[in-house]
Amino acid sequence: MGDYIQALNETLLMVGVSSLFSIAIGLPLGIILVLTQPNGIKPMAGLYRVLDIIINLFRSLPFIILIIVFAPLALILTGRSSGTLALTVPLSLAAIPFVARIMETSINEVGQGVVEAALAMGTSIPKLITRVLIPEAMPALIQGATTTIINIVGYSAMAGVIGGGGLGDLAIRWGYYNRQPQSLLVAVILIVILVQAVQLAGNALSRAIDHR
Amino acid sequence: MLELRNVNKTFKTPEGSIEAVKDVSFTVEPGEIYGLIGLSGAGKSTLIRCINMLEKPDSGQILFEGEDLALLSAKELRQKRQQIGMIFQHFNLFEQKTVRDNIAFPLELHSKDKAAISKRVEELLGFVELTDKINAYPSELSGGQKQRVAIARSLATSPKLILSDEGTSALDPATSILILDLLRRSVDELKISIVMITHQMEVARRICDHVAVMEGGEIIEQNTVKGLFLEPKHPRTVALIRSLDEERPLSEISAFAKDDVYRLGFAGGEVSRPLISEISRRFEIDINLLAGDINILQDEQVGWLAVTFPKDEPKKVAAALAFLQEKNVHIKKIVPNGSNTSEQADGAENDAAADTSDDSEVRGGDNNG
Repeated sequence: MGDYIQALNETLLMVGVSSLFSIAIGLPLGIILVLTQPNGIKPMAGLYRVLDIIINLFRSLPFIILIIVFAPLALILTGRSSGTLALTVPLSLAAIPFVARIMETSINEVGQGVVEAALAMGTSIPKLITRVLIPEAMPALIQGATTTIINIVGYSAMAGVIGGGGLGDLAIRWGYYNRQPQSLLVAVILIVILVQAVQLAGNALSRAIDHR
Repeated sequence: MLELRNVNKTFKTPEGSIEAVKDVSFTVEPGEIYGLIGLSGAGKSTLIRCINMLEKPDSGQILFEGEDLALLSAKELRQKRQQIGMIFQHFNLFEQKTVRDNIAFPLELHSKDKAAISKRVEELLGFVELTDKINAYPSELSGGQKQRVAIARSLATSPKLILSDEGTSALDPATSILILDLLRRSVDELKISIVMITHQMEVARRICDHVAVMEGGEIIEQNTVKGLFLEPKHPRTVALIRSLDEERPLSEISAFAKDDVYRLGFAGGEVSRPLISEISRRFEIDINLLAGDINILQDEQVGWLAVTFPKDEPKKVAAALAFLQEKNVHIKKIVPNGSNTSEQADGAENDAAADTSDDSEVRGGDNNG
């Protein structure tokens, strides 16, 4: 029982920290993509293309490779090259480009006309971002964050393979290698419940704040 | 208060460049409503966006109260834009903000005085008669109510000029009239000017003081609304007015008439005179009334009638027509469909007319008017 709780805590830690960092970095990136795209408000072809390529590159790298390649970075940032906390570094790095894309798409859904109306009133770009783009896209941004968190839950389970801990690790070590199918089942059920809870909460919040 | 001088705007596309606005000049006086009419693709939208620099013109001057907007810094332009409100075909309200917050938005950009902002919002809601909707979200409002909120929002910073980009095109006719009346009231009570683009002749006819007709990025004709509708000079203006007006149903009516069909155009005092019964009595001919309409151009009544005169009384008819002509009635003989060359009238945008079966416009033979 204690093992399950510890594993759940580890998963929650990995998912929580990586979600926080990936959204904190991915959202601004998504906004930069929206602003600098060819028909955006401040078109900057060079910057847009560089970001676009980097994001696509990171998204195409297998997660397991990210873990290995960024182990030194994790060491610098967390003082460890393996373990639960260290894994939040590759987890965040894997999620950032995903978040950037999702946020880009969500913000692009804010009508061109609404942006035009705001600009016609004399809205500056910082205020356009904070008072128009983000509030108007908020329901979609929350949906995007929900999808991100669920993806990170999936990745974190995989991260267990290299000693990250968490529910995925428990399922593999105890359930698979030690042939304890009930451990595997319990771990999987906990993961399923976690994912469902995140999805339901995300949907409910998104719906509650959407006034369209 | 607003003057455009030789404004040009060209868009570069992979297929080549499109001259959206070509050498456009016009002047808007304080307190007037200036209409830009034309079919879609005529360059109206680009032109109106040049006025508040949402589109930067390639050359030419946009003088707003004597100041060339093209020369302003980004910050100066943002400040200037507070004096130029804008409303849109699809309202463009902030959907996640209440009516109150929508109207407060332009005020909050430059002021932190919450009490003053609230007071101003209430004032504006009173002006557009939506006080009870202050806490509603746009999705809870009808189209007309949304546009009223948008008008209140555009008036919030007490601008001197409002730009209307097809402000009534998405509304049903009855609602359009209410919105137009509200715009007229804004001009009269708040002493602002409006530049509006529209493809709806009804709109221009109802509230504009001056009208410019655009085609292919150019202004092909500009005049007072009365001058333009009564005596359109450019052939494309004539076609545009007719294509959006009565000529098509008229040509259909005439196809079924046994006698010669004439269109009689009246203006001003002649509308109210019983001219038809007068000529009927005086020249002893039977006149059959087929169709007719009276429009109001600003404060003046303008009307037309489609009538048939008997074929077997050519002398009496000629005398009657001469009499009408003397009374300043514009006379035009209508030739039924198919019996003469027809000119294609591009009425694609005129969905209200919904005449999809036949897009041709029949030109009358002897135009005595």
